[in-house]
Amino acid sequence: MRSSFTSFAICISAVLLLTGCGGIYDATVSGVVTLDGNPLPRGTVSFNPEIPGPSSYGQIDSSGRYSVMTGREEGLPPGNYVLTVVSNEPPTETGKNGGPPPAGNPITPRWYRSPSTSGLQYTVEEGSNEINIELTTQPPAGWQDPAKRRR
Amino acid sequence: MQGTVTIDGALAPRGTVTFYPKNNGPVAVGQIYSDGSYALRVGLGNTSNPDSAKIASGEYVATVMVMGESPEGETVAEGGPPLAGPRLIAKKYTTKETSGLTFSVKPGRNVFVLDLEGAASDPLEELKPESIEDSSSVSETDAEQAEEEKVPAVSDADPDTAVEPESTDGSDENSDVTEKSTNQ
Repeated sequence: MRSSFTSFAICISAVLLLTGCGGIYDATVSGVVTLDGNPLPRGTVSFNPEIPGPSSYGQIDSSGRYSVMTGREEGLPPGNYVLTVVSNEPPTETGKNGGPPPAGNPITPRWYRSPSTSGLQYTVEEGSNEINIELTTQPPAGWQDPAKRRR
Repeated sequence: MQGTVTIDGALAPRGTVTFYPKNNGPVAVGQIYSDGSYALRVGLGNTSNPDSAKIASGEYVATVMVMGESPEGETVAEGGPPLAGPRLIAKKYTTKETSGLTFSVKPGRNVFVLDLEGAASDPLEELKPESIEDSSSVSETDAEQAEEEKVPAVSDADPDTAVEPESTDGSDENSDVTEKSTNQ
């Protein structure tokens, strides 16, 4: 009896999870972003589709968690994506003469900012996906910082 | 019609998006939420479900304004509204003559990502002497590429030479803009 109730409960929660809040996209993605094992406190995860279409984005909260939205809607279409991650410290000073404050120091290494160098490829399946993104400060093989190549 | 605004790859924290129709028609506006997302509306839009407001299909030119947080404690006048924060995006995006953000809104669902450059790319920055990084390993091709990259940025800065918004194809002004849409 107990087990049938449990399976009923699991079934109901599965239905709730799958249908979500009546979102228009067939997949949802959430997870934790870490850099050398430590959760990132802020930043942006971009899901760039391999096929033509708009990118989807997740905002990283103070515990390192993110969930992906497309425009104002939760979720994204299933498919293959290349991810990029950008995280900066908050600006520490205000701009001079009312000018814009300089961007805060980058937390995430530069190669994670571009789809061509991030090396973060994931497949998003229909339904709910848990994608934990483990970043490292160890540069990928052959990486050359463009800022240092400039004159 | 929804989308997301990013500045140098990070989600915009606040601001407004305005879509001007190229032909006759009403202007569509949208607030940028703290997660970088926006939804456009005409007039009051759909007040019972603001995210599902509709706008006419057709060609549009967009402008964007994203401000930083207001300076703490400072107001326009005694008891007045707080001072506006500093602009966080490149100045060119704030007028339709220079934004280079052109979109074709199709019938059905549209999602447009506005991938913008930050205020650091403003012309003012380019007049300053460039910080010289040690570059003993610079090859000639790298140097040439760096030169080439700078040229369109300079022409961007000059409103007189800015290309009309109509000419989106292959123009450098739009190289930083992701223009994509889905119909569902």
